[in-house]
Amino acid sequence: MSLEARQISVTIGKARLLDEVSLCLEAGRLVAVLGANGAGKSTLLKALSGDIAVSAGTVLLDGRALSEWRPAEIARRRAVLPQDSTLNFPFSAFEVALMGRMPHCKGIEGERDRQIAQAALERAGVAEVAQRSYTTLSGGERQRVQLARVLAQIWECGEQTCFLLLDEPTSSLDLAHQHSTLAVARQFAEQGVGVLAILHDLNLAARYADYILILKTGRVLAEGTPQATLTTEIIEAAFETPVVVMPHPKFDCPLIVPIPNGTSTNPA
Amino acid sequence: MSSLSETRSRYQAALLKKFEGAQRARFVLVVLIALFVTAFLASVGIGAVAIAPEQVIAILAKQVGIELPIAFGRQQESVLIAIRLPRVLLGCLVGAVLAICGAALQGLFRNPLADHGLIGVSSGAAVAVVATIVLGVTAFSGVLIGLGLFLLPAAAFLGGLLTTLIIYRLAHRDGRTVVATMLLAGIAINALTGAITGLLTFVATDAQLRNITFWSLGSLGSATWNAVGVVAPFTLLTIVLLPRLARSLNAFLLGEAEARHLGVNVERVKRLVVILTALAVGASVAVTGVIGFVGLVVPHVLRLLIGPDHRRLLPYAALLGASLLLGADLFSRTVVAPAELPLGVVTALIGAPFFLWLLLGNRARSSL
Repeated sequence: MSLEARQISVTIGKARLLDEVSLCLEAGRLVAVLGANGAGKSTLLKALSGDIAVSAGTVLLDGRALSEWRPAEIARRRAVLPQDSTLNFPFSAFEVALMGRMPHCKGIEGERDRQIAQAALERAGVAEVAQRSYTTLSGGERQRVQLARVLAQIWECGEQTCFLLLDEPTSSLDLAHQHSTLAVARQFAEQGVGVLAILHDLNLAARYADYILILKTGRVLAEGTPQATLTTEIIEAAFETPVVVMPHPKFDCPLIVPIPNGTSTNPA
Repeated sequence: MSSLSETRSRYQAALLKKFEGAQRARFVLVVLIALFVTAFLASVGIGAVAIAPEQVIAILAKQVGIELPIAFGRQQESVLIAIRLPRVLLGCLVGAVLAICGAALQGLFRNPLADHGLIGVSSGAAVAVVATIVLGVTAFSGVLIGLGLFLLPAAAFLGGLLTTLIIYRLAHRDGRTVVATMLLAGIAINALTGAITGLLTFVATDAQLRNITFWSLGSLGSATWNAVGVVAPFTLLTIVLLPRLARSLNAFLLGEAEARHLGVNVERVKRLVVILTALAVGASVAVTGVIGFVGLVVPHVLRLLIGPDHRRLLPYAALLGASLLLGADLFSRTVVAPAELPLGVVTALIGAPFFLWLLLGNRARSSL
């Protein structure tokens, strides 16, 4: 079971935002999508989530085109965390998380749904603000409450594979919460969910992703394991900024250190 | 998942809070029902001919064949049945519709300042009514006589519906309706209809001006059983169907894309909310003229009391809207009796300062 983009292109007006990009999101994997601003990361995620129509190619869920699925069916299998969410009505954090259960129940949520919503808030590290109004939360707390909502949506998948699409899930988070959020994404992947995350921090991607896709101006520049893709050459090509890549002192992954422009890229 | 057992105690604490919330909502519901019953009995009882609440019950019981041992006069009976009851029922339906549609549109637009004016129902109705008054008499005098009393309501209803459909179509592109475009198109079309209305008003005669003014200020004065019969199907349809969209509207508050990802058929929800509002508000405005502020204030007050969940908000809004309009109508016809103040003036006079007070009060609280 997979969520797959097959040779997709997205053209809006004259701008080609994505050019024949393919990506297969499978159960149990955490795929990180990297790239400079405007490289097409969000466009790829929007194509996978059905928010924009592809001009060429297809997006398939379990081998069937996305358009052939009923919206409610997809919602039970796939959750999408938006980059930023502008909810300005005073729902409590708990109620926001509980909305993640919408695809799974009709009318009023049951006892089980409420337990899941609470557990999801706990997992996202925001259980202590469960009863506070969403509008009074800080940016980072809001982002984690939204994370709890999408976790609650795919909490129990049974036989089927669920998919979690995260658009810059760490953008408003402090250092500790950036790691705890990706650790949660990692746990879900290990429990069989196919996770895709757009990330800006290369070191987070190196540490948590199984597979990395690097985009540049709408095309795939490189893809593969962190070791294979996060090399000085590829990163400098993708971001047009000099970096030094070295083995991580503690973990088995590369460590990327950007070297600001103007200094020598090759101290040796 | 494994952490479920660990969260049990936290969950129970949350459940307690939730229970408090539910209790509070139940309390508000009881108050709203009491308010509605009071407003209803006061509205049918107070006036040139006074009818006590128990007499009201006795007269109503008599209509369905039950004789109660309570005395009432023949005049009281005919005033209640022929004058007060249709007026009060019309007030209930119109008040409920204005409030419930306001709440639903605010959810759809994710904007607490939205109301039916935004989708062109009232401005479209106004232009049609003014055009009928100013141009109709000379151009189609034969048709006018044929349609008789129903001409103005019919024009208002069709004008409102047509304007809403134009705004809805303008915002429609590639099979999707862009809510932000709908908002902007609404503003533009409202300005246009306002200009046409202004032009027509400018060329109107004094007698026509009086008619136009009367209609644009709103009143339940034209209430008859016929009017109730015309308005009831549209308004009841909306009052029954809108609450079925409550969960989808909750998801809409997160954002349209988010709602779609939660499995909501967003195009269907948009279409239904706009059409149901246009039908019900169009029919209401056609009979009563323009009545402002109910659709704006009622959802606001209720959100402060019971939160933004549309599953409660929509039915509660209908109840409070009905009570509020009955109260305003009672005020408008008793305070300068035997004359009547225009109802739209009363709702705005009460509504506007109250709304400001809510706004400023909220600001003070949120800045703490």
